[in-house]
Amino acid sequence: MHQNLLMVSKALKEKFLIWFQQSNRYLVCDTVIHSMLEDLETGISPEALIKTIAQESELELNAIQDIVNNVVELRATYLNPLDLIPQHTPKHIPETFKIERFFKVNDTVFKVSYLSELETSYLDPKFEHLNIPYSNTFDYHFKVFNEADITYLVVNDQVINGWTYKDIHYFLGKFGMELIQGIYNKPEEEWMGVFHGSAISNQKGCALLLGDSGNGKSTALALLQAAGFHCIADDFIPIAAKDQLVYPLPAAISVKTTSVPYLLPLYPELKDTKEYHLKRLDKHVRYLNPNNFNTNHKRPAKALIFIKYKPESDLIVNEIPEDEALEQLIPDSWISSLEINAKAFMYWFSKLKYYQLTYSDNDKMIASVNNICNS
Amino acid sequence: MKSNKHITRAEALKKMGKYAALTATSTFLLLNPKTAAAQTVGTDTGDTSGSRPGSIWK
Repeated sequence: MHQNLLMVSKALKEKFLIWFQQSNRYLVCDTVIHSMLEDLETGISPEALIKTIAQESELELNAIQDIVNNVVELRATYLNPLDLIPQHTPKHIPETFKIERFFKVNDTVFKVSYLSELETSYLDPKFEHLNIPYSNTFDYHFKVFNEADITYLVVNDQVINGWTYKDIHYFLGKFGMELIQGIYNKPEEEWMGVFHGSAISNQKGCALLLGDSGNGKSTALALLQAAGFHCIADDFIPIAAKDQLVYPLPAAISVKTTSVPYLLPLYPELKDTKEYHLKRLDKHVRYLNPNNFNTNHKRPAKALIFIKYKPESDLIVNEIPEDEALEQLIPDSWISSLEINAKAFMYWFSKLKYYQLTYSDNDKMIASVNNICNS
Repeated sequence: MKSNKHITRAEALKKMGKYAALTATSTFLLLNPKTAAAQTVGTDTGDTSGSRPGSIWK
């Protein structure tokens, strides 16, 4: 039986980008697949589609049947939504908490109550620089506690969710989402997505530094910041749906310990900052405060730069095709599942430029990123 | 939403031979975004490989 999926398509330069509402999944394909999916979507049967294609092409019938069957199978995979993060509810919300922190961003005060040191260790490295002394008044009260091996987040007495240790990066993600919702007074449905990378800007433009973990995104961000660029976000890049601007998040920048000797002349404070071991990524990091945090510094991104530090490499900067950019971008991103926001994402992406940048010489990398932001 | 820059299916199929057309239907990318926002874990008290970080949780 035919089951209608809401399918939204966006023509890119060479390919089509398609979003399926039912599963919030994306497909990048060419004209042939796109047009077949559209026909199937309007209710045309596979048999009728085979007949139509036989009339419009010189292909043999069995070849056409193979093609159509492949596309029907492909379409069926989109009936399956992705696995969602499980929802947990605590038996009790503790009445007393061992540790209290107060963060202030502009005029918004966040009180964060922790039951134990472990939870503070997740968040302090990123947000310690925002701490203020005790405050009688606050706008948001976050409670973080562990119950039966699940870490819970409660905001203003509403349970947001609980996460097992395996999913603790999603707890931090939700904490970041709640923080930006509070700072900018925008509920979750008003955010287009959150991208994994660093966002920087100069006087003329903003770019996102992306790429696999360990490629040196944050180190590049620290170098660019020291060269006069504005750090908008590190690790967690929120973009709002309506204006599609990158919104600043005041988290500290994590730099690999191996980069510290190169960064020390620029950031002497790194000498005495605490070191953290990120075991899963097998790297040691220190945290650097963003040097000019300003919530008004919202910027439209011009380009995605997939950056890679490679020892002794010449500077190589290439524009890359949109499908290569999407392949690297989407699996590492949270993109809102609302139709209007998915459309905003597709439009936003289509207006960008995409680069692969490999470097070993810091000055050349900085000059190149400067050119991209200026273009 | 079809763009004028894009050729029609009939044109695309005509340009391809039989085997190229078959290949075309297997050259697509299925991409799954994360189902929730995430942040890199910045802790020195354990790893995030799924094992519990020991005494702190007891």
